[in-house]
Amino acid sequence: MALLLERTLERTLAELASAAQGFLDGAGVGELASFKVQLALEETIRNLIEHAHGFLTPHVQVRIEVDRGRITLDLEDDGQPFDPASAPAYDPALPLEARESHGMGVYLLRRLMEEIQYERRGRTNRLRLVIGASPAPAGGPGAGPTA
Amino acid sequence: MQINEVRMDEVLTHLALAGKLDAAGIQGNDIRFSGYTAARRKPTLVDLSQVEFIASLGVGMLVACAKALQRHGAKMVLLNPSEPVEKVLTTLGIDQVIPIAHSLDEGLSLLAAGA
Repeated sequence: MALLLERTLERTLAELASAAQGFLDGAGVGELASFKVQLALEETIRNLIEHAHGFLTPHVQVRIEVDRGRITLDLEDDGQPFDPASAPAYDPALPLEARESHGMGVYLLRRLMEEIQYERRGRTNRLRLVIGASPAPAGGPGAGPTA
Repeated sequence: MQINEVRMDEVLTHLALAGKLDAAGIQGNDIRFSGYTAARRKPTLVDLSQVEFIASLGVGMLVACAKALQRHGAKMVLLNPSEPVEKVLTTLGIDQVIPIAHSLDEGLSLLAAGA
């Protein structure tokens, strides 16, 4: 079971997230895994919008696949190269006065995703994130056949 | 994101946030939240029980206001986050600098003790 989404100037991040949530509910994906997918979409696409293209992102393609206990997100964009491994380090042990209000997104993904792979191919960034897909409780939203 | 006033007096700021603390939810509301918290310079309890989603941008809003409060000798305590929201906060070590309470009594005790 898979969902293919494309972000254009007319399609906002919120709309993408809503479409993804509907797909995950239909696939019977549990709350925590769905939360992680939303987090992955928010952090990766917002990072892309802010750092790779300024405020306008011409084209981002997102593919979400739920298969045998795993959710795989594949994102492709034609922005500037950005390898998450090159992001500045984040220290979760800093005292409050030394903390910044930004720079946490990539660290969060590294800790909460099972797998992150980045590849620059030609003029395209390809990012793959893998999440374990715990099922929704029986009888709850999205209960029924799973992918 | 919605900001609901629970208690606003000379002793305490108690707010309840609801909805999504993501890019769309934060837009414009981060300034309002700062006005409710950092600008008042009172011990601040932030109920997160109705927050359904938080991204790093939302965490950044909480950190910025907690830092501003700390500069004026006031503390912030977070109350009753859902399991996924608490997972994000603990993964980032936020619970080490902005305590998380799981009951109103615990939250008020943490603030009274200077968190």
